[in-house]
Amino acid sequence: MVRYKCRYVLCKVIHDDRKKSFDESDIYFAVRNEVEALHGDYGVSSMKKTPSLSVKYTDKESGIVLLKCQRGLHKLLQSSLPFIKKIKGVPAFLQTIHVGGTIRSCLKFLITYHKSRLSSLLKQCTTKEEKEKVKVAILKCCQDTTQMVMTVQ
Amino acid sequence: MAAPMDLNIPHCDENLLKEKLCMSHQLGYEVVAINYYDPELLIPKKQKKKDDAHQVKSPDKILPSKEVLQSITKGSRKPFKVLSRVSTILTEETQAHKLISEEVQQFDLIAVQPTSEKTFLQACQTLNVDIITIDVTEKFNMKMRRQTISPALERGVYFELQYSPSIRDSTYRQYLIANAQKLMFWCKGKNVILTSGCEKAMELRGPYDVANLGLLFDLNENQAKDTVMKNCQAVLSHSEGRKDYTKSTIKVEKVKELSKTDMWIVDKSDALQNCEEFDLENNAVSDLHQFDSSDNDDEEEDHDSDAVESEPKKIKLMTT
Repeated sequence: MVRYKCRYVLCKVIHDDRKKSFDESDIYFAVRNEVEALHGDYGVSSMKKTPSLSVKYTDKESGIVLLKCQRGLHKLLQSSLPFIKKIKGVPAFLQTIHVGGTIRSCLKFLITYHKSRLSSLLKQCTTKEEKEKVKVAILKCCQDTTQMVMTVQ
Repeated sequence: MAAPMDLNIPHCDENLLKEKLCMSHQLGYEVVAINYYDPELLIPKKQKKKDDAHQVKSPDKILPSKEVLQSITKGSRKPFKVLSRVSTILTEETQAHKLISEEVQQFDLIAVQPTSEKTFLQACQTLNVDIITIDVTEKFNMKMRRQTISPALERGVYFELQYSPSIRDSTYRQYLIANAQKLMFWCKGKNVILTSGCEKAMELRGPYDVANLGLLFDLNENQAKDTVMKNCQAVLSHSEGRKDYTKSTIKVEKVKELSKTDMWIVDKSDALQNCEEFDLENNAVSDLHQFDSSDNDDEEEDHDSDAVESEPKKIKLMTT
């Protein structure tokens, strides 16, 4: 058995109005069309090889998207990502956060990414209730890390 | 890892500019330059119709106020630095003298966009600028040769490519890729920076995405990353050398204006100075005499130049 090697690209959708959310298919077609515009038939057809281009995970609240493609072809994908300017007719673009070899490593990175953003969220809070919520979240992730350290020791 | 930078954000009205700066901060840029684009900057005043109306804006007017900056960086510890930059079109060789004038030199960065082969050669060889802009909205007609570009590589002048016109339109994208590949062939991936030049906030892209664009221009991954980070740092140090340093190795600054991070230099130099004064009294006078007597066979001019050279050395001692 030969393992198909993949690359996972973790992206964040940035757009103007926050109410709008995107499906997996919306993002897939936006990416596919851009690959077709930049790399032509060769790009699209090579993306259809067995570990084919697909959207593995979307998070509607934070706008996180996980794209999968074959290893080696990720350069085609990554080079066409910056040219996306509209998703489903709405001006939006994708910002690459992380590129990894497994879904697990990407999700691991995602957790640390969200944790690092908590402190900046705390300063943006306006009402007391929001502040309390973020504080609880920060405390919780601090406890998690201390537990991790304890078990390692 | 060096800080990601975007050295071209066009100047526009306040709200739009704030939006752009917000977006660039959100995307993770740490240094940003606001570009004041004036195509008629170098044309002498007599040829213009309105004499008084046209004046170069000072960098203070272009940069946003402190309150705006604070509201942008609110809630994050990441450093965010905003620089000023001026850029013009260079059509004739004789116009270049205005670049030396004080009102232009006040800006942190100076960029020039040559339109003909002669001005391109001039910009590469002699002009005291930081960035040479290469137009990505039309075909690059000039003949490039290694001889024209190599002086620019040696002097540390960088070539700039803007990516946001190519996001707007697919024909511009063709020009960008064609011009960039032509440039990369001759300068072998060195001395190139990628900047945005965006008109809207939505035309900005994250630093990693911009680096990935480099893959389209026949760059390898390290070179592509350098176009957003390391090379931009080199541009900044070059501009600092043009602006602040006398003879580009020594910088004279008032102690009051020093930033807190550099205050250790003062403490150390005080201690060193005490030592040196002590040494000077005892040894230095006799040393100088010995030094002179050995060199007396040469011309007397040598003696003068030695005296001048000894000064910088002393300053170097103080700062190290």
